[in-house]
Amino acid sequence: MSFTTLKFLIFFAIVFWGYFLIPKRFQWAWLLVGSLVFYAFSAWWAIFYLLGTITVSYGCARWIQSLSLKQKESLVGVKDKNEKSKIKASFERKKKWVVVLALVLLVGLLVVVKYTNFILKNVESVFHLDSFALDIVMPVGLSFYIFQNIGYLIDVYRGQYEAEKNYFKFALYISYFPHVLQGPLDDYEAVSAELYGTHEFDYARVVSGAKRAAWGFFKKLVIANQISVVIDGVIKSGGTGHEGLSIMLSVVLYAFWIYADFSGYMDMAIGMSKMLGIPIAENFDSPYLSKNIAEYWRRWHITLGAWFRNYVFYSVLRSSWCTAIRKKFKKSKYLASTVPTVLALAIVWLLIGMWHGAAWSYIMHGIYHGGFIILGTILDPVYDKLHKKFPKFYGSKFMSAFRVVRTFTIVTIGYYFFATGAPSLSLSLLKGSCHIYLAGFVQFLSNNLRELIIIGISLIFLIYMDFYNAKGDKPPLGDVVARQKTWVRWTLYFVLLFAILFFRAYDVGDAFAYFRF
Amino acid sequence: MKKFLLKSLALIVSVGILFYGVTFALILPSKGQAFANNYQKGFVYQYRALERAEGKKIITIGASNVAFNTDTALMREITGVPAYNLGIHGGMGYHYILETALKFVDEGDTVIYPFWHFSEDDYGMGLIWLSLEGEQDLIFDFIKEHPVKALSTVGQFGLKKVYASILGNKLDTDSLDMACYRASCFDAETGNYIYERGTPIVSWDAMHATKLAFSPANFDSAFVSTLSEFISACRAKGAEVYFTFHSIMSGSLVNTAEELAEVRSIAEQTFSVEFLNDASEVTYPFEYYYNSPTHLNTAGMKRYTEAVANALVPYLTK
Repeated sequence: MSFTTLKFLIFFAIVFWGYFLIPKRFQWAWLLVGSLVFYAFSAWWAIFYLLGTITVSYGCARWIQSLSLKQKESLVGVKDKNEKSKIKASFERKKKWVVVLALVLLVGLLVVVKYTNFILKNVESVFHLDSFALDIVMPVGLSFYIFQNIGYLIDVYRGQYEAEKNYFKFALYISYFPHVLQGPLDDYEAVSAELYGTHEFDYARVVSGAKRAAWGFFKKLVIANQISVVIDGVIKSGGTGHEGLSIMLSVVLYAFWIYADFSGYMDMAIGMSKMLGIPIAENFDSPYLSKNIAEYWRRWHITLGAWFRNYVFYSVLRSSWCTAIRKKFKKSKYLASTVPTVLALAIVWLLIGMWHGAAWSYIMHGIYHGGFIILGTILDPVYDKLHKKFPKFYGSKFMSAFRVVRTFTIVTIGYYFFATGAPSLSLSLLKGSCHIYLAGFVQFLSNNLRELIIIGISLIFLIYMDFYNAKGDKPPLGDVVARQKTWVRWTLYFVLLFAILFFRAYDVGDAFAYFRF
Repeated sequence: MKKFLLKSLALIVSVGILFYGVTFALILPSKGQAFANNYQKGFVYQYRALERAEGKKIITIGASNVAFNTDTALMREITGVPAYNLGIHGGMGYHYILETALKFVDEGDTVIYPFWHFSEDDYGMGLIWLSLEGEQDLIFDFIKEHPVKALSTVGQFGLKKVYASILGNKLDTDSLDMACYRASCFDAETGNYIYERGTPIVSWDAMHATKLAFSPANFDSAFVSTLSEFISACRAKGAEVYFTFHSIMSGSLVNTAEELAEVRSIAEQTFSVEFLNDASEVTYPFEYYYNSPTHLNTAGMKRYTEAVANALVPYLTK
């Protein structure tokens, strides 16, 4: 059930009003029922995947917890250090096996469902075999909730918090409807207290959440969907029948499309969750104003980056082979720190590419971004020296602007790989960009004039909001609006809602870009 | 809570009133239509002609191939029965065409469905609204029949009209820039497509780049149930339904003759409907086409109509 359907709006109205009308102690249970109903609407059979992963994580986390308790009990009264470490090691080994078992089940499920046909396809093409693709349908949101399950399990294993005792409360954490389909990947510790707590109806908070959600609707229905009308044909055909400038403009618009689509979804999810009194994680922080690729990934899909940093990057860095590399290069401080980091980054970026989809174009996109980040890591000492030598130049506004434009250009070029979902189409898109034919471009603009006018005007608002938020020294725009006179506020709300209804694009479907991941 | 409920309701209702007020003020007036010469108006001409029809008739239904391929005047001349078309654009939606056609099917009528090689199983609301501008009775009928669909999509028309009014008649043909896509290409009285089409205006290569394919896989449950329901409803009214193939350009079909025969046999068995023609009878060379491998030129239209009408005659005299 997509957020932008009438069905969802009715569903949310029921959940929202029910949440504040029922006795407070049942609020979390009400949310659980609502979340399961919401998920079942995507496909009834998909609920078994969701409940299966929840059961595995819950069971394994409880197992780890009981092993930790037994470990504590076994250590009581033991004074010999060797004996203590033996007991500890024995329990740690057991816990590790439980985590490994859970990871095999969860990652295994993801691999089977998401990557089987990709693997089969490549085997077919390497060995020139007949197609034996399987009819596997991926449940929507699988990658997201499997990652959330894994994060929770590893945190419990690392002893960051205790495993949740109540199965149903844990089920709510994973299945909570604002984040189950495409994130954010919420940290259990950060969200659980509010998720299971009781909430009074707070007028100011509800209005603030509703405003945030309305802005998300504008981003998706007006900006993303109007862009979709213009670029879909160009991107999906690999630029066939279009000249270079039209293709380049389409790829630039794709950058804004995916941003408006994904961050719009997040605004809706965060806003609706706020209305219920449950703050969930932010996933975007004006990413296109980043000055380098590493910063961009700290501001784009923030929770995915944090997930890979916490559970993959640091795990690799702490691994025995990275320690061995460090030892090998102990004479050079630079190599001892850089080589393991580069290795960990290479693994992370390969996985991020693969996470986005079972296609070579996504893997290439991951390698492309990873390549820039690795290059930045390797050249870090050089940058440091230059910054110290020319502080005025590097600190200038011109240089800041140049770096923002440079980063946006790199990101946009990366979309040549990402947008099509197939390397052959990406190549065709790249080739097509070289054939510039001005009259064809004018025709393209003319054919899409209506959409381009709406896109242009609405992008001004989007970019202004990003600049405003990026400054960080001003109160949130929502708070500024809340302080205005009644007629100003109402006019703004009125204009926003009217614009959503009147300028939205139709016939482009209700799905969001990240549903497929 | 009460304060929030009342304020949000007031906001939603006032925005809704303004939105629908503006939209209906743009779509309802019959004067000052922005899309009066739009190709989509052809559908309204066909609809109105069917409204005026009396007695037994032949109705050919489907997509744009119906308009481009079937000459209703010639059909009438050959069969001696008044003939009408209902179909100008596949994008209007398969359901919409069938449910609209059913309104006009009466006892003794003959319905011809040029078997389309795929099903477009919904409502193409953009095109439907474009055709309905200024047609107040049709607009209200559609809202009555499909209130959610109508009210949730009518907004797209408002924006189109504002755009057309500000920037001139840019959207007159809604991206279909060819001269053959105009309301004036139709006879406003009969809804027959009368635009004179000579030699093909699209190159042989471009025409052959579009491949046609009939496949047993197209008989999905949605398609089968929708078409079966339509056929049953026609028969319940005392009308008979026949299939034929839409015109096929030589070399544009990916299927072999055996595959095509299999598709025909599946269609006949699934729907218990006879085909008037074999595909080979309506397969014509490039020079009979105009701008696509299913759109015939005037000479092609004559050949196709003769083939279908002559095949139909024995059934009419039964």
